[in-house]
Order: sequence, then C-alpha cells, then structure tokens
Amino acid sequence: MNRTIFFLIVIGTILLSGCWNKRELTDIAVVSALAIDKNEEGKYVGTFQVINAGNIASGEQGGGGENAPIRVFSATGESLIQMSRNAAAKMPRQLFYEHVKLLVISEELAKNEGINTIFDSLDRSPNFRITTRVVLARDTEAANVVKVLTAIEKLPSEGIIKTLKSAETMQGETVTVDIHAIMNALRSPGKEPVISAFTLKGDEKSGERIQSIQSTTLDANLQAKGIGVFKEGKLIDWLEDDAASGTVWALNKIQRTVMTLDWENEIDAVALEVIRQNTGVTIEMISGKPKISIEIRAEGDIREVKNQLDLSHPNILMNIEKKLGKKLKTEIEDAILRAQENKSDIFGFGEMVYQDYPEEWKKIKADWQDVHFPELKVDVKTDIFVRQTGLRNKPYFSDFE
Amino acid sequence: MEKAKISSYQLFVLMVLFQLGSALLVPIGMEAKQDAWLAILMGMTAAFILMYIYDGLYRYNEGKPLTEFLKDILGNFLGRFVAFLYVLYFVYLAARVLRDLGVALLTFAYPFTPLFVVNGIFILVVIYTVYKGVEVIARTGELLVVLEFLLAVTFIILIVVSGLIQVSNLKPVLEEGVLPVIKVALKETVYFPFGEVIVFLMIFPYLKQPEKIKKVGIGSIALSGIFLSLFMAINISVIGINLTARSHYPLLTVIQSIELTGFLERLDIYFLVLLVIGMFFKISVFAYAAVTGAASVFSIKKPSRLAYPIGMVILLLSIVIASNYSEHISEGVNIVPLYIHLPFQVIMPLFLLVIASFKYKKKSKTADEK
Amino acid sequence: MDVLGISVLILLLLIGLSLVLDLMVGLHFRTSVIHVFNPFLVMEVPELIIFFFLMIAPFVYWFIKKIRKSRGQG
Repeated sequence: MNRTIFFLIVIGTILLSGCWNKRELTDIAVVSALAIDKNEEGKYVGTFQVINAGNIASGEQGGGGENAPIRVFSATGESLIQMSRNAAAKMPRQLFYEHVKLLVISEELAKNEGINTIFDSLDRSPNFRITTRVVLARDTEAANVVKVLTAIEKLPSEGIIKTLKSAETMQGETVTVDIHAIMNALRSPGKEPVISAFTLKGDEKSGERIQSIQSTTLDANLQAKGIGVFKEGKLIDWLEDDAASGTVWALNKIQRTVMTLDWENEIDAVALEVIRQNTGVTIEMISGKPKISIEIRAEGDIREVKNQLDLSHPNILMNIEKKLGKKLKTEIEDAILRAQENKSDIFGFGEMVYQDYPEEWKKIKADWQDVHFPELKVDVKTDIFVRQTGLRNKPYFSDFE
Repeated sequence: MEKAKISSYQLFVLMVLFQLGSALLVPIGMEAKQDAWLAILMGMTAAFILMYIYDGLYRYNEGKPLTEFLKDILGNFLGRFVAFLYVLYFVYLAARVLRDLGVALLTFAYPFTPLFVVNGIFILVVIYTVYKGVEVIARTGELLVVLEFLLAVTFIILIVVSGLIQVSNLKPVLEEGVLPVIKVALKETVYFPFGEVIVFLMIFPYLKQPEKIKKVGIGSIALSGIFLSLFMAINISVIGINLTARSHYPLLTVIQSIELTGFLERLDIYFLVLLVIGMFFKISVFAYAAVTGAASVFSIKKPSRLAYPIGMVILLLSIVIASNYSEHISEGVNIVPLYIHLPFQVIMPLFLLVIASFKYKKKSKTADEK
Repeated sequence: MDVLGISVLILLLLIGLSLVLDLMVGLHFRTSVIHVFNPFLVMEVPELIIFFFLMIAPFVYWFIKKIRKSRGQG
C-alpha cells in the first residue's frame, strides 16, 4: 500500500510538474502592442512592438536607458497567423502575446477592407486577451503609432491606453473599446461599433528615436482624435468635438467631462465639470414602430465663470442648469441625427428593441440599419444639476465696472 | 432622561466647541463688510441677554430638560406640541450643519466622492456617540478641545509670525456708522452661532453643579465670541473683505496662504481638523437634543433606541435640504435666522419666561397662603 | 416600531419645511419639489448600495434580535 502511494507521488512529480512545453523568460519576446496595416499587394502588414525588458528596469533606477524601451518588428502575410509566422523569421525569440495591450488598426484597412474578419485569430487564440484595447490610426499608418516613443509613460502602448482613459474621463470625446465589444457589435444586427482614433503630430521618423523623449517637447506626439463610425465593418465617418461628445453621452460612457455654456455674448462663459451622470434608455412600441427615450441626469460643480455672474444666487444657478440641459440635449440629438444619416446604429438601439420586443424585432431586423433606424424617433430628456461652485461664489471681477 | 452627570468644565468645553463648530469656518456677518468682527462681538453681547433668558427659564424648572418643562408650563398637550417643534428645529439644524460639513469636505478634499457617502459615514460616528449618551459626548469634548485649541493657537502664531496680517484691511472701521453693524448683529450673528446654545437647555439638567449654569454659559459665549471675532478679523486682514465675502471657507484660504520658513506651508490639514472636530460636536449635540427630546415628547423609555432612526433622518434631510450649495447658503443667510432662529431662540423662550414667572409666582403665593 | 413612525413623521415634516424654505427663496413650487428629490436622481452604484444598507440595516438587526429571542425562549 505504502509503496503504491510512493510510486504515485514519484510519477506525479515527474509528469505533472508542468514543464511539458516550457518557455524560459530568455526565450520569449513580450509583445505589448500590435499594429495592422495593409500594403499595396493586399497583404497584412503586422508591426509588433516588443518590450525591451532590460531597458525599462535600468531606466527606473537612474540615468535613463540609452536604448529605446521598445523594439519594433514588422512582417507581412495573407492572414494574421501567416503574418505572425513570418515575423518569427526576423526575431531571435518566440513572440509572447499574453501581454498585448493594444491593437492598432490603420484607417486604410478599416475604410477599404473592413474589420469584419480580422479578429478571428485573436479571438480564437488562447494567448490573446479579448480585453485588448483597440484604436484606429488616423491620417497615418498604424505602424507609426506603435513605433513612436511616448514621454512620461515608458511603454508607448501603456501611454496610449492611459491617454485614452484620461481623455475619456476628463474630456469625454473618446471611448475605450476592446476586441470583445467590437466583435459583439459587429456580430449584432442591431449595433455597430465605434473605435477611437489616434493620430501622429510631428515627424514620425524622429519620434522613433530615443532623443525624441529626451527633450522637453516631443518630436512626434500621439494624440487622441475623434471616434470612427463603422457600418457593416467598414469605417464610414469620423466624429469630432460636439458630435463625439454627444455620441459618448448617448452611449452612456461619459464619466467626467466639462460642459461649457455661452452667456450673453461671452463664449464659453460658464464651465461645469460633470462629476457623475445617469443615462437611462427606454423603448416603447407605438403602432409597430419603436420609439426611444433617452433620459440623462448629470450633476457637477462649476469650475470657471467668465461673466459677472453671482453664483450665490440659486436662481442664476437654475438658469445655468436649464441652459446647459438644453445645450446637452441638442448635442445629443445632433449626434443621433448624424448616426441616422450614416445609417449606422452605433448606440445599439436595435439590440435594445430585440431584448424588449423580440417579436417585432424579427420583422424589422433585416433592414434595421438602412430603413428603420434612420426613421427612428428619439426623445432626449436632459437634467443638469449644479451642486457646488468651488471655493468661491462670485468671481473676483464681479464688481468691475 | 438618562442617568448621567457632567462637570461644569465639560459643559463649558462642549459649549465652546459647539459655538466655534461651523461658525469658525464659514463667513458670518458679511453684510457688515470689514466690520464683521465687530458684528460678531455685538452679536455676542446680545447673546448674553439670551443666555440670561435661558438661565432664568431653567431656574424655574431645575432638573428638567426643555422638552419636559414645556409640558409643565404650557400644559400636557400644548407643551408636547411645542416640544415637538423644538425637536424638529434641532433635527433641521443638525441636518444643516451636516450639509455644511459634507460640502466643505467635497469642495476641498474629496471632489468626486458622493455627498451622501461622506455625510453617511460621518453621521454613523455621530449616531454612535449619541447612542452612548451625553457623558461620552462631554468626555470626547474634553479630549478634543486640547487639539482644537492647540491648532487655533498655533494658527494665530503662524499667521502673526508670517507677517500676513495687514490691519489696514480692517479700515475704515464703521464705514457707514454703527447702525448697519448693529443691524447685522441682530439679524444674523446673534442667532448663529450664539443663539443656538438654546439646545443646551436639553443638557443643563445633567450638570453636577446646577448653580454654575449662568457662569458657564456666559463664559463660553464670551470665549467663543472673542475667538470668532479674532478669527474673522484675521481673515479680513489677511485676505481682504472682498475675498472673504466671496469665499465659502475664508479660513481655508487664509490657512493656505501661510508660507513660513520654507516648510510650514500647505497647512490645509489645519482646516480639515478644525472642520471635523467642530462639526462633530455641533451635530452630536443637536442630534442628542433631538433624540432625547423626541423620546420625551413621545414618552419612549429608552432614548437611545431613537439614535439610529433620527440619525438617518438627519442624513436624508442633509441631502434633501437643498439642491445646490448656493441654495443652502442663501436659505441659511436670508431666511433661517429671521423665520426660524428668531421665533425659536428669542420669541418662544421670552414668552415661556413670562408665562412661567406668572405661573410660579401664583403657585408660590398659594403655597404661602396655605 | 413606534420609533420608526416618529422618525418618518419628523422626516416628512422637515421635508415640508425645506419645501417652504425653497419657496421663500423665490423658487416655483414645481422646481422646489424637484429640488427636494433631485439629489437622489444621480447616484452611483456603490452609493446606492450604501444607501440601501443604511436604510435596511436596523430592520435586519431587529429581525436577528427577534429570532434570537424566540430561540432563547424555545
């Protein structure tokens, strides 16, 4: 009896210790970002941003690394798998995809070919995470986005994701989407994806050099710019400024943002920081046609006043609340109108109809995007509440003549 | 009424902390402009008279809290009704102070935390203290007053040493004569914070030496009045009347402007500690008075049972009270003193005093005749 | 649950008072009603959880106490 247990233990330690397909740290190249372009021959061009591990650590301790924190390789192929195989030929180490944080898709590819089919290998692979963030490269090749070095954040992929996040929370004109959300939207007949874009300002060649981040101003800088709208997997429109923020509001993705209001000839005279918001979308069926009502409630603090407004007076605050609400309402309505003109239901209203009225949905599903969505009646209701006014009530120039 | 005893020193400390509470932090008497500090002093003097009234009222009903002796003076039904009004008054004021505290914390320390959460966490502490009774409040006061005074004194020293005080900012004194200042004193500063000591009519019965009430009351009003006036004078002389009047928390701005010897700067924590200590006692005393008051009005044997529900009422009310801070403040400055403080702090006690004096004179007379 | 009744009474009366004060500041009746309830319209999920926890906690406590008592007797 004892002997059997002993043997089992011995065999177990040999067989179950998990070294079947071992990969030592010195054998792998950690990919942090992946960019996908399309070249003239119609082949995919993959650009792999590989972490230069030794340089990151030494940079932390002092002196700053002499070499760039990343290395970039590129490879072509008919498919993503092909591409990754071809990349192996250029790389001394095995590519390690577990830590890919960012996927960049070029504008060209998104516009001409569409993104309908490119995610399958990423979805299928056990190494790739479907929470990988996706951005578009606008007015530049996707490869350039992963090549450029960023300041403050050592890893450019980390830098881009953090920029995206801070832009989303502070500015409210971008959305962070991952592969999972995009696949879901592509799959569903009642929803179309939106993807935020990054663009490159400055000289892309010098942005690749370490000197770029050694100066106070960067030679090349990445910047979040606009939201790409898709229809049937193809990029068809860019949303910017008010259209973008209206869309983000309607998507219920706003976290914090600043709203401005014109007041008596003064442009942007009042700035309100929205601290939290609540968006509710309800659907009604009126004689077989869906009707959407969006109800948005937001509260925030006043952060700037350029006019001689006496904020200690509740009536003035109420006035500001009302005007801001009206402004937000038109902003959102414009964004919805734009989406209806694009015939692309980026808000997922169709999906909501499916969830609430599955019977009716069957009838309108086929031509939802082209016929029913553009005719959809959307009712927007907004309520803005001002809560505090910062440390002061009146502005310091309140008694200027 | 619970069986508890507090010493006259504890009562004194509690009254001082109570009055300094929120008044130290928010601008008061701003309509008097640079004479706000004078308005506070005048308010203090007027509050002495109020204290005499409260003391006189208590003399007639020694050993009984306000809500109990109202029943004796006005009869069972009417007495209970008025006592209930006082309970409402205390709950309302507690909610106002809680809102002040929450908004202050939100504006300068936790801008993205919901008001409800900040207030909720704070009221839990208050509920616990109230549940434990008046002795615990008094002892906590005894402990924390040391910190409060240490902070106040070091603050004054720092301000003086850093040379920020420009006395010229206080000039011209009495720009438009003494009348407007008196008006502000009678309209505003006498009620807030001094007149609010009427809530201590609920606590006087616990005092070990009841004969000292007048002394303790007057002394505490004088001390806190002088402190408030001094702080207001410092505020105005450091940052000027314009900024003081525009600020929600002038003291914070003053503290932030201290820069001494290269490392004594960014002392915002001073404000935070003063804020939390002061507000804690103010809310606790109001909540305690409301809880014991409600218990006596509705004849509930164990007042501590009411601590949690009334605490929740205060919490909900602190949120409901106003949609935004400006509304809260404009109600607090324009309406509450005249329509709420005046009747509860002056008219009703005076009225009660008159009735009590008649009633007890008659009683003692009939007793004599017998 | 007399305690609960008293608290609700106080709450309702004081909400009425804050309504009156809103009117006195110069707001319309409708807006003052809205002003009473709008702070609760924009709440985050953790905030809501804390809200319900605070409101329900005494009932849970009371219930547990009751069960314990009946067990102690039985």
